[in-house]
Amino acid sequence: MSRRPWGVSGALLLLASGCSWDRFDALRENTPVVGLEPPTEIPADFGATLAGLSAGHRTSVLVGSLPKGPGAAVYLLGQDEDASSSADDPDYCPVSNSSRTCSLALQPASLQSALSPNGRARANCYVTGVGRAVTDLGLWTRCEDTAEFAIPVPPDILAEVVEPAISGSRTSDVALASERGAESALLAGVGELARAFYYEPNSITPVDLAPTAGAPSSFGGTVAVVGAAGTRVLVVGAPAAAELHFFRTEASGPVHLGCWSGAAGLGRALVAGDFDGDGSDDLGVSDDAEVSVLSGEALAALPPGADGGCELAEDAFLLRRLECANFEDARDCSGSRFGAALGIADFDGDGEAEVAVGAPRMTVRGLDDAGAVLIFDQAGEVVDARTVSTAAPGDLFGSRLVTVAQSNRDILVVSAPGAEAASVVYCATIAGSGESPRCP
Amino acid sequence: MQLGRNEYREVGALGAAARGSRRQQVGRGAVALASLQRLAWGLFTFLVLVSGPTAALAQGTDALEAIRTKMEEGQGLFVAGKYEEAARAFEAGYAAHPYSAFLFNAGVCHQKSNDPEAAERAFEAYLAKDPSAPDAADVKQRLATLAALIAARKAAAEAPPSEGEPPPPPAPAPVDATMKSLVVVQTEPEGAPLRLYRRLQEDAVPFVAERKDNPGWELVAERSTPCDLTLAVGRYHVVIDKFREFNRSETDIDVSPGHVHQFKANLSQGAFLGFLRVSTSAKNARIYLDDDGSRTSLWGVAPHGELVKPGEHQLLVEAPGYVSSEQLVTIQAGDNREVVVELERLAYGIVRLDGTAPEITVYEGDLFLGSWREGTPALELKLSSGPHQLHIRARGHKDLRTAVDVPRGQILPLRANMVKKYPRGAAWTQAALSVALIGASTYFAVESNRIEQDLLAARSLGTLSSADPRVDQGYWYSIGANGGFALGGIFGLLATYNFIKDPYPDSELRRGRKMEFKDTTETPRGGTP
Repeated sequence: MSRRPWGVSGALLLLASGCSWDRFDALRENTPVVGLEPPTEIPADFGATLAGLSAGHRTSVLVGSLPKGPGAAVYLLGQDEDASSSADDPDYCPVSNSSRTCSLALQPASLQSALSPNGRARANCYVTGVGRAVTDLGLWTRCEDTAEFAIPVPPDILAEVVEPAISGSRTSDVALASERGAESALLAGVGELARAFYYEPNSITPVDLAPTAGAPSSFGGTVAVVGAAGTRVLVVGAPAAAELHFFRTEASGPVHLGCWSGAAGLGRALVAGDFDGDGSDDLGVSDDAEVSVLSGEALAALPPGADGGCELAEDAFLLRRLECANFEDARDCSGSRFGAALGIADFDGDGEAEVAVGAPRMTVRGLDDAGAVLIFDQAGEVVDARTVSTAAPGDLFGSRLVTVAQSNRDILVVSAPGAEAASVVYCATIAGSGESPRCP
Repeated sequence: MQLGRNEYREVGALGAAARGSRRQQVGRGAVALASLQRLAWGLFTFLVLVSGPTAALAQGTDALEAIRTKMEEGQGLFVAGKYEEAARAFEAGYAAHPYSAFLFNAGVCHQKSNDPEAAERAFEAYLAKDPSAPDAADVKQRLATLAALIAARKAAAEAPPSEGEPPPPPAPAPVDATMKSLVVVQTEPEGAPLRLYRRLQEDAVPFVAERKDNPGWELVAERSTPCDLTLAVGRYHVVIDKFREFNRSETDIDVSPGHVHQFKANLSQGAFLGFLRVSTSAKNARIYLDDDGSRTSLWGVAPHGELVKPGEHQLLVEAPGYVSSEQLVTIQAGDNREVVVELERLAYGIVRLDGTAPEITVYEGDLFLGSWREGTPALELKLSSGPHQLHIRARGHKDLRTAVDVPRGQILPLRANMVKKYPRGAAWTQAALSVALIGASTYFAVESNRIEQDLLAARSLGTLSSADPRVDQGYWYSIGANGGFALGGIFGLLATYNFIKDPYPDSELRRGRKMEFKDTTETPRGGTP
């Protein structure tokens, strides 16, 4: 009995001493996940579009709204603790202005170097959509020096996509992709028109891509540029037709290598990255149920295709097939929209790439549709599931994702359109995440 | 047989040296009762300073006091050597109170002032006033001496003048300057025959009335009572002879200069009696003699003396606040017995308690003793004598715990000065606030700790987002907890201070002077012993 007052006093003392608010300041610093704060210029649909750019120590990410939305903002991520959660430049692809009008692409692209129509080279640019810059119409581009210009587009795209978007009469989903590296080709597709075209590095001249046997529906709905074996393979998806079309750029122009027809929804998401560590990009592609990793070198080695149908056999280029699996807090693969977004990068800095697959409708810690990003290793096994502590039902975390490079590893930027949020995920629990103050 | 009842008392002494201290002295005084021999005398002697008619003395104490004043005035002047003024004072006293002693003493003063003519007039008036005075012969001798002196002076004055020095006037003879005293004797009934004997020799054997010859004693007066006698200083024996059915009474008296001795004798009817005097240290003790238990035969209030029949007597003395004392007293005929009764106080006392609060209750330990309400008589508690620890309570007032020493057989008045309790409203409010704040702070602290643990777990999993609102939540919870603890502590300290703070004085017990019981059977009102 006599010890009770001391016990109570001690408990209160401990309670009081444990009440220091500094501990939360410490927690706030170098969090494993940094939430990007939507700028006031993007009041809605933040995180609907994503693009990343890694150029040396300049690492940035573009976060935008829906194509009809108010625009996008660029965030400078720097290296680990240098990350800023505030937008560095929120003026990408504004909806409407007296001299600038833009409609975001469903999938923007980044270019480490670009040539503006006036012939000046620009660095670290984001091709964010279609619209008007000053007086030019075309692919709306803004660079780190705030230079804005429009890359010319084919006349039919100008007439059927750009001008209607500017006038607001119609908005078409435009998919853009670029090649990793300083000299990057730019690939664009409009699935609604079954059109795709590309630009050689530092070129503003569009080159049409057309399958030998004609473009299937939704051709150009998704695009990817795979740099492999000293050349580049342009990949154009037609998700509605469950087809992938491969083109190789040659001096004479693009060569259609063939078509791969797969499971339903094949090609609904594409990503390029060196998965197998051979120095060439490989291709990640998802269908409605699975994700496949295709060898970039194998694709680059494909002979020009015949004019017939989609007859490429996957055995020639398939590296891995990834299936959704429950992992720790991430459950319920059924209806998870596994493969909504893809990334191929070395998240743990061990020299071997992993594949990040967004599954935005997975149940996380009992929260329906909170979403997760499953990390697959080289063996195709799920080794990690990335979520955020702010997960809430309907977040749809993993709807979009991009990877950007840090000094010793790659990191994920994942959006959760349901929460109108985008997060920089610095860590993975697989075999450590390098020397980072943010990661446990 | 009815006993005679006699009293005496000395109320003053003649002369400045004896003044005051001998006043109101009860019992044996300047007038000594030499003996109570066969017949009882109850002597109630008043020593006054004047003499006068017996009837006047009977008028009461006021008259005696006036006489005493006059006598003291003359006697004081006489002692101071102012004989002429003393003579005038005595003469004035006589004019107001015609007692012959004034005349005699005036004569002596004139003699001392060498005024034989005035002295002669005074002594002549004295004899005229009291022709049968016991000292009539002596006064006549004085008159003769004075007459001779006057004649000699007259002759000397009428002789023809001779040459040389005129002859000196004759010197006055030496004067006996002793003042006379007045003795008043009264009896009940009046008309009793009185004989007064004077002792002539210091070594004379005591006077015995039955003896025919009493050498050394001479009869100086025979009167019937009441009477007053002017007597010289000395020892006298008073005899009241058998009178009707009453027995003879006698006693010795010592007469001092300038006194008035008053004797009142209730004559007995023949029995031999003893004198019993009972005294006690207790005031107002009631004395019952040979009481049958009904307390109806009150003998007197102590100190009390009275003639009683010889034999064994049951003496019961009661006094309020004392234990009654009973004892057997044996009195022999002619005894002059004084019994001092030491009464012991009762083993309990009464605490008489009231207070300044509307209602008070009194406990001793857990024992309820009683309660008192404003407007009612004081609560009286009969408690054993000695120390008692009383706990006095009153609603809204500070408790009073005090030791009370209950006196034996007395009433101890107490007044509980109950002081209101200092208001604790602010203290309670602060305490409630303190508890509420600390309670809320505890909740916030626990919650912040839980949130921190969750965030640490999320951090260890690499899922902790900087946008996680729980970081801010935990942060503010911590601040709230700390602020709450601080405020709660401040309010707690304030509450503690205000609980301890008490500018009001403590309740206190005021003790009054102890009082005696009014009745030997006094019992307390209310309360339980």
